[in-house]
Amino acid sequence: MKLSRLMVWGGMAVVCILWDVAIAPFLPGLRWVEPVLPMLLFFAMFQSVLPGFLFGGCVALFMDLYQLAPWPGMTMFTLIYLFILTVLSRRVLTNRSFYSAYALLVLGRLIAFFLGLFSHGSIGLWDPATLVPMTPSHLAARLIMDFVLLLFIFIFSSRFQRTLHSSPTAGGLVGYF
Amino acid sequence: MRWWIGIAILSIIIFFLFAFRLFQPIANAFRFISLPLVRTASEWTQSGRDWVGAATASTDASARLRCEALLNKHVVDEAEFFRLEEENKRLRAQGNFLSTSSYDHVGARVIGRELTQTRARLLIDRGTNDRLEDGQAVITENGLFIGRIRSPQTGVATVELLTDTNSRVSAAMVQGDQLIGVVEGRGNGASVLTYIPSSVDLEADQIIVTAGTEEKIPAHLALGIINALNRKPKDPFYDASVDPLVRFDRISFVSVLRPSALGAR
Repeated sequence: MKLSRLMVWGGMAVVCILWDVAIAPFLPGLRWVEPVLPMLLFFAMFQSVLPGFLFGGCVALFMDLYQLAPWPGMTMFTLIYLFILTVLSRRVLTNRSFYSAYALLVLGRLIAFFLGLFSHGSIGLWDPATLVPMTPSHLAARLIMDFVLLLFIFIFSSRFQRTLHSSPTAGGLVGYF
Repeated sequence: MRWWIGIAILSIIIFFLFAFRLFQPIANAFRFISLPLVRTASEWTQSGRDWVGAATASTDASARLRCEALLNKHVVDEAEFFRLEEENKRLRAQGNFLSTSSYDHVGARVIGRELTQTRARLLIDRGTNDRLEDGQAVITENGLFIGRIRSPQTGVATVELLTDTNSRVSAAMVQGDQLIGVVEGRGNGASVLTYIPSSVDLEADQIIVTAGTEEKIPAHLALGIINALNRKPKDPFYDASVDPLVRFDRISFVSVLRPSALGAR
């Protein structure tokens, strides 16, 4: 693994952590922007498995540390989501298009939505105080912002990915649509 | 498939380390390393937001902010006045001085915030190493009670705000020591004063203060202002909605009240 690539990934992880912990909470208008899941998707679809898990695990663990929750909810959710994402993106949705990426992202949000709803509503095992149930309107707002974020990631990554993949659909934005 | 097994085992280990609090030393080390960065990021974000807010605020908005600041000052002064009056009465009656300054405070910066439908919490950059304990009262720089400490850890702690759905604080009227009810958080920035005996006559725009019945929350800290009463003639108790005196999304600095005995090193 190249050092420069490692530094870029590390930088992205730091930005994701700071965004979630120290920036977005103070900017109410931008609270629906959550870059972690789209970034995980990027890793799962276009990188090898290990960097995705390293990135996701580290970011989620730091988020849990600053949530001061008694259990690592974000870490657990991220690892489960990454597992599903990796399997689906390698076995089912293998075309690497923007639409399949967005479908996987919607799946991730739905998992988070139902986990929150299910655990908060009916299981006393987890402390309700540490869980934030996502309402359908929140889910919709996140999905809209996810679309924008994912588009941005695809455009941005296309500049760097073009040379790495021989397939035309794995490179620029035109290929994805 | 070996790496899947590795990741699954690692996940289970992390989960159990968290669950049994064995992860604490590693978590503390991570927080110690990252806290300056998080603090700086939140500081810059708040400064930027304030700067943009000030630059774009209309004259009406500025006037409203000034009025809010004046009102807060008036509320604190009034609560303080009645506290001193009560204290004076007690001193005269008892002939000995009961010290009311048995608390010191530690200032903290807000580094994180969560204001959702059910949760109203702040993350501050002080923790158990600053002698913070669960349940200690948290006030703004001008003395308004906003919540209490929950889950203090090394270097950081959570403040459960008054409007959090888990928040319960006993309240009293500004005049007199009588406990009149419990302020319960209802989420979405709302809180309600419940279990007010029908014998107590409250009115809208009346200020309520902490009753001091909780172990680590002193009495006579301004809590909020009564907005509307929900009263039925035959009920033994009634409710009243309470407006907070401060906008929680604007708080940057807070003070945590801790017993002097804990503060003295």
